[in-house]
Amino acid sequence: MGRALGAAHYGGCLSCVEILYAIYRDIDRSAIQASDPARPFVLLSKGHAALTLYAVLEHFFGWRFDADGSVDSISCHPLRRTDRGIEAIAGSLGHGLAIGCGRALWCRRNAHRSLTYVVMGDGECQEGSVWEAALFAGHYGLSNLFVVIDRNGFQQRAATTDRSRYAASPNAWSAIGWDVHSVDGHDVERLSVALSPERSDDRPRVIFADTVKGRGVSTLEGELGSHYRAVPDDLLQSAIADIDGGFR
Amino acid sequence: MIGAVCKRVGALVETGHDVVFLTADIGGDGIDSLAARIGDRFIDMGIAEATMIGAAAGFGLSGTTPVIYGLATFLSRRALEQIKIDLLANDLGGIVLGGASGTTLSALGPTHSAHDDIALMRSLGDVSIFSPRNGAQAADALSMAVAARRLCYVRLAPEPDQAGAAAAFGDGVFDLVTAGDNVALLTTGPCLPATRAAREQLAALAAIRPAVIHLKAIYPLDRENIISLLLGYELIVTVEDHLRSGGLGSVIGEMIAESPGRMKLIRIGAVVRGHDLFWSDGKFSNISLEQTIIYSIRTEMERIR
Repeated sequence: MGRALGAAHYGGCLSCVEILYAIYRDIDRSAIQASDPARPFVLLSKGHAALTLYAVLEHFFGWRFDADGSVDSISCHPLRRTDRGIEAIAGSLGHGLAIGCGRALWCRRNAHRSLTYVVMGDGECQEGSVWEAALFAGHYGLSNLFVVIDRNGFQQRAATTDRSRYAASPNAWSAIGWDVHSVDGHDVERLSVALSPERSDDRPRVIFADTVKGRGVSTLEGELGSHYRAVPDDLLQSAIADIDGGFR
Repeated sequence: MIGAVCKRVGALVETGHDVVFLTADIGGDGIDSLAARIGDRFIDMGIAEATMIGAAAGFGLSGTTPVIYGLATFLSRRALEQIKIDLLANDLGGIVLGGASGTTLSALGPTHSAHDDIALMRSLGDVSIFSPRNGAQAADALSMAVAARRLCYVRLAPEPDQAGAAAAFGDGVFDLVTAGDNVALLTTGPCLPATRAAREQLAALAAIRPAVIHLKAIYPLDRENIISLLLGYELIVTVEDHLRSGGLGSVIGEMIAESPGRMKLIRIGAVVRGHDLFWSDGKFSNISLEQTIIYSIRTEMERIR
């Protein structure tokens, strides 16, 4: 898909594979398939990881998001397609959490038990709108709202902590009423435990998922330049070899 | 106007319409009673306009129509991206109520002046823009927007037009307030009283009797309908509580430019110099809108004659 687009945000796509896999593996997929109004909502706020979302949706639902076919089309950032499980447009950072707040509030008001999941980037936490929404969710005790922060440590031009030491800090979230968890973001089972809907209090939950940008491809892992780039033939071959060979 | 809108929201909820009302810590006539009337369908989001729009999208994505209320200056600028992305790009309906729209609060300074709200909303491309003349029209605009399930921006001003009953929205997008000849005064929203007063003075002092036409909507407008209305006049004067650029005057100017007519257009509205706001021909605080209209029309008519 990325080749068809010409270039893509491979680093951030590869860092959140297990996060999206764990969410979709464990939720009520039949409700999503049926477009049940009370279905769980997954909002990919870091919309530049759309290719991972397409791949995970294809894996679990069989929906194709090919760029080359005449039937479907894809975009580098997802457009709303409720028939394909994409609940909202994304790409402009800092929007998903507020939308998730509205959805969680709607579910609570209608006595639906389904959960809302928002997947964000750690750099995204520098957006002011994230904190407006985080304050709101904390104040209203939206315990049906789960945020997963893909903490891969990089934004486009720098390490995230070089730009803001506090934006993706668990203490900051804890201080405003969130139930904070930290896990290995490439460990599906640990993610699954953290995403468990069993709750003991009425706080929204944020899961800091420690990940590696460009995970699984030796030439991309931990590389700042993996944020957005084209993949020439030689890199494609080595990436496939890395993935087939289980690169660690 | 917000009082009439609040009553309509309450009535909509009580008749089974699936709407929620969100405000960003902005009160006003009827707000508290609406909160008591509709219970958990009233949500005060706090001082957080961007989050209010995002949360409204969350409701919209779930099938509930959000009615969003805030000061026009903050909604149309600070939350413009959320309106564009979260509501419009997701193809959600919803009603954005811009309180104290246009120049209503310009005396409080640039922070509170929404003299560019029409231009900003027009820039989004496909947001209906209503500019009612009183509470009854504002409430009608709300009902129409809820039924249409499309994104609408409704300009609200605190000084409603008290003179006479306003036509409902179902009667078309403009009201022919006063018939006249040669000159058409086109206005919108809260400028109607000053426009009508200027018309009476022009008739008494200069024997100029312009027609007064109130536009209830800025977008969408039926171009053919508007142009066929205007073709009967040699001078068109637009009057608005908004920048001369990007608002009603620009909309009408674009239509005239693309029409076969040869009518002359004068746009009366606000101009900005630094942090000061002026009417087209004078300082905002020193010359009234009414005087500006009279001066502009007399000058042009003398030139024509």
